[in-house]
Amino acid sequence: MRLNLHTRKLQTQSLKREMVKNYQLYLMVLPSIVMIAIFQYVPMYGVQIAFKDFNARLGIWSSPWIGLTHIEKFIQSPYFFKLLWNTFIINVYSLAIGFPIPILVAVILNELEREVYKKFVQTVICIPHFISTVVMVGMIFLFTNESKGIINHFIAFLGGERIAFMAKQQWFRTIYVLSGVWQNMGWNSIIYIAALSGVDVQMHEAAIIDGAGRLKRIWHINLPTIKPTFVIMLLMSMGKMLSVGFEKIYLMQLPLNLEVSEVISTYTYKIAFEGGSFSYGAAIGLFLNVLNLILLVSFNRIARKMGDVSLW
Amino acid sequence: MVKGIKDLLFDTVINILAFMLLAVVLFALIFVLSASLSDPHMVVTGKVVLLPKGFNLDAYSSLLKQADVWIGYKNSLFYTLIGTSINLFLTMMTAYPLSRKDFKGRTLVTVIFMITMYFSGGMISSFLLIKNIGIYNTLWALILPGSVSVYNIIICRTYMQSSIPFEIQESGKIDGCSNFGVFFRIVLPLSGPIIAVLTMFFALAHWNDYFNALLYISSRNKYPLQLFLAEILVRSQQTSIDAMMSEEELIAAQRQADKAELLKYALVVVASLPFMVVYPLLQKYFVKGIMIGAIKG
Amino acid sequence: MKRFLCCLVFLVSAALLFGCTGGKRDAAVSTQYGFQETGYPIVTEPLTLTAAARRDALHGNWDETYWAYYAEKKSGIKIEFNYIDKQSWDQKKQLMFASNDLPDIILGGNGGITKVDEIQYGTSGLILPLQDLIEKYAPNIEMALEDYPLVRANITTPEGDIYALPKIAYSVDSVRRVWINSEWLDNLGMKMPETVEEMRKVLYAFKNNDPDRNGASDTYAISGVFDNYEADFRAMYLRAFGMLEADFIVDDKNVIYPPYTPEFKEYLKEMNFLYNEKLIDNEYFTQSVSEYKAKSSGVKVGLGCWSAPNVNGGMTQEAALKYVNIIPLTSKINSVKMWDKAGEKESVLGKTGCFVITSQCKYPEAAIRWADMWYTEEGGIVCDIGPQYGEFPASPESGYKVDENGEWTQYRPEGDGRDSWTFYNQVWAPASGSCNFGLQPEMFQKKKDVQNTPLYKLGMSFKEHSKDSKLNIMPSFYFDKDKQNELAIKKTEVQSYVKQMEAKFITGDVPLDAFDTYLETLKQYGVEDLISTYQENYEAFINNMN
Repeated sequence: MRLNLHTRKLQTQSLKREMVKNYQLYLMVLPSIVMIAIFQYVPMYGVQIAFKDFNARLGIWSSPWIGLTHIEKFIQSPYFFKLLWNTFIINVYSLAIGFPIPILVAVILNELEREVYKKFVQTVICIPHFISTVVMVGMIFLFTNESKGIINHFIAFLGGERIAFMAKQQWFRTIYVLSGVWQNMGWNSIIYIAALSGVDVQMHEAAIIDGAGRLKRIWHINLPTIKPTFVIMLLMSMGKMLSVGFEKIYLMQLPLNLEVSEVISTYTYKIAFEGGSFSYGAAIGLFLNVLNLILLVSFNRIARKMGDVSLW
Repeated sequence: MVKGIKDLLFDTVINILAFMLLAVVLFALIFVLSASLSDPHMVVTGKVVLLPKGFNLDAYSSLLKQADVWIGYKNSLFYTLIGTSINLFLTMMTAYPLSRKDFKGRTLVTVIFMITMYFSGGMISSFLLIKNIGIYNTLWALILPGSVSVYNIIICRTYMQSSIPFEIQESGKIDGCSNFGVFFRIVLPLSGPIIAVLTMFFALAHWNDYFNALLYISSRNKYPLQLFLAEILVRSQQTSIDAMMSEEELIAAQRQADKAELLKYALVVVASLPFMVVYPLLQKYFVKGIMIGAIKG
Repeated sequence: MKRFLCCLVFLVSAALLFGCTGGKRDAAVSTQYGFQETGYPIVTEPLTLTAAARRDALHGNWDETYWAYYAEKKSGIKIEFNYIDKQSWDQKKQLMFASNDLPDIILGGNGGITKVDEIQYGTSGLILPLQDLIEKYAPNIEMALEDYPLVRANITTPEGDIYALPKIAYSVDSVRRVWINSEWLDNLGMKMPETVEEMRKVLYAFKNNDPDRNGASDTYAISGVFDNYEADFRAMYLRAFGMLEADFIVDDKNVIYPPYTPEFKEYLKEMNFLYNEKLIDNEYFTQSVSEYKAKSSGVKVGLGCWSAPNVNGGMTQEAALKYVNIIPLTSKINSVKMWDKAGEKESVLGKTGCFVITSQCKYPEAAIRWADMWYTEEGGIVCDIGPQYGEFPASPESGYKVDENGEWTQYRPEGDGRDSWTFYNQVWAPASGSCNFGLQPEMFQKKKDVQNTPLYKLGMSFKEHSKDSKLNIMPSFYFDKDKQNELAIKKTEVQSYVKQMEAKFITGDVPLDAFDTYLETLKQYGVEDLISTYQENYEAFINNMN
């Protein structure tokens, strides 16, 4: 007992010493902490709206408390499970396909020898990221059109049968995910390209001397270099598994595909449009964030166990 | 280095893959360019496949003729420049301590930051804050609230941890550098790639910011480009064609829709032009072997 | 960890300082500011009222218009406009109320203040009830409401409060316009169909018998965009089978939801048949309005819905003249012809939410008299017709002139590049979106040659054809917040399901024998509760008309 106290005291003393020694580091994080305190933490009392029956005259603090009513209502709706499922599945699908591809792209481009060609390809594949959602969806409809779309022209050319893609709900998720990959793979690969520039050239030289081929070198040197980046990006994506952006899905929705395309964000939009209460939307948003956070914490724990890369 | 057959094969495969990537993207981009130069009627009926049909520069001339667009452009440039600088400064400065394993309280600070990614006060309380502080309808309302981007701090921290070996920093300290010194003289110069990446991320975020401007800017002469563009483009989710619109209103609405149809492709071209100029310039920071000099030195 | 929690507590308590909103503000009721109860000007001492104004992209500065000029000259009240662009209106309005940072009056245009807003902000005292003020000081508003009892019912809450004033206007043309190519009918030697069966024959000929005589088989019988207000023809079939819309409707006593009735199955059967035979363009469910417009501009669509074939049908004036309006159809299960009642004075509901007085306003009597101005014939002319020629000093070469027949025409200065609607909004009055509210003047119907326009004739013919039907769209009701939210949820779910299923029944993705399962599912979604709730409110609404 006494030993513990003593060790504790020593620990606190050495802790203080460490902190004083590195006081500059603390100064460096201070500005950000202040900003976050003011602009994020101060308004946080507004989170209450999700649990209150918001009345403008009474303000946020005095509006009556209704606890989890909104969230209960949401869970009990016959639509609830389908919405959650649609949202979740689209994200899993997006992640499974959309996550590895930017990495692949970065690795491939990194191996290009001719600088000019490399720069050109890198620049071009990033441009789709700048296409607005409205135009993107317009292009999707145009290209998948049964009689006029380029994709069907191609299929017919190969002797296949034309498909009315947007009219068939079984194609919806695929089109959504693939178009997203196409649009963002370039931009998302930028971070990996930056990470790859930190590859140890000396290791490569040593490996060549040892007779390792290109593929082997990529596998054993390049990929481990970007592993921390990759793990962190994956974790961050996990923390968004229950959120799907509103605009693109909303624009792609058709009565024929609503069964798979109705997600939480489009649902809450429609309710608000019909005159639903402001608190309801806030409550659902908060509920989802909590779920996302739980997912994030769990995955972070797994990541920590499996290696030394984790968010905190 | 002598190239073996295996290497050549590998190179060919890589080049083919890269070409395929290029082709898949380039085709659609050429389409967008052509569409912006074509008669919208042709585009919508699927007659524009790769080359423009009904060539005309109407979209561009219409866009450039509007004084609003130029005002918005100027404002957006201004907001972007200042905002990005502040973002970069804060991000680098905050990420560095977090990347140091010997920084006590690292986990605590990270958690404080990450909480804000999941819980936020919402539109009303943020608005009240902005108003009470007195930055409503100023540049600061657009820059300060988003000045700390937790997501990017984490990315930056990861980069510093994995690409800048601690040994270099330690050797700096042994040579008598303070923490600030290590940061400015050793870490920053080695952070070229991540600075380039972050610059692009932040610049794009500021350039595209719509919602903050919608809420916090009330003078039209301070509007960023995005607000003017949104006004020009009919947003398809707001097809509130009122059941009782008069004929004149219907015609006016139709004209709006036509204009939007005409402009939407041209806008994509105009929006991506700055990037197409800036990115190749920044690419030189993504060069391999930036470490060699450092280690040997 | 402890230290962290302390920090958090500190931060949150700091937030209290910022979080407290101001206390209630009571409008000081005093009529000692030079206020005159009758006659003009309204005030004998200068008075300025602040107004939040919902500005459309089309509008210029409201204070430069003839409307503002007339208002200030006549009433003696100056209005200070605080413009809020339409695209940010919803958010800024919410923030305005939430932060209690309110102007004296709000000019929101049609739907600027929603019924939900009225209940929410009215019951919490942020906007003032107007019925007493109207009774005391606004005789013109009172008269207008007597002439339009439906409007009165539409703006009165179940408790008897009126919170927002409407724009009352009607035009004789009809709202939903479905056109058919009469030249093709002539070429085929067929007459205008009046029943569903006759229409089938016509559509078949349209698709297969080369009606435009160009030697190619490239015509569409029907095309459109599903569920789009200005591009969807299906109302024609719904009405043929006795249902006005696929949405909540009313007759003179009851609320009806046609998708929950057996007649709906008959309608689906017909649509499914036509779709399978490709008499309905199979891109009906996937194409965009632009694509539809492109198709119709080539004059290849035999029957379709457009606001006008040369407006959003993309056709030239010449081609558009080949199209005429359809005659409402009848079917085996329904022999009553019906169409929209919107072109009739008796069914005007008014465009609501245009004007409210907030708790901030210290001069509500003056404000209500200012609003009252717009419900006179003179005020209505200012809003809907503009100045007399030469009357507006800032634009002396514009205005209307009346000819010997009592009909009026508008004139704009030579060389002004703007089109007529833009000019109207920027120089005369901010009319777009009904931002200048009030009562449409009787003189409006005397526009020169209006009776010769195709749309007027269309409206009159539909009026003729539909006078036997009692069906009308359901007015919107006032509900308290909780009820409104509950209803919003149910309604979204029900309508989403109905739309999905309607599409699938028509394309054949789901066979029509599954109709009973569909009805069962609707019941699970709570459709019967919805109908009965609306029914209750409809009965209260009818009572309020008196």
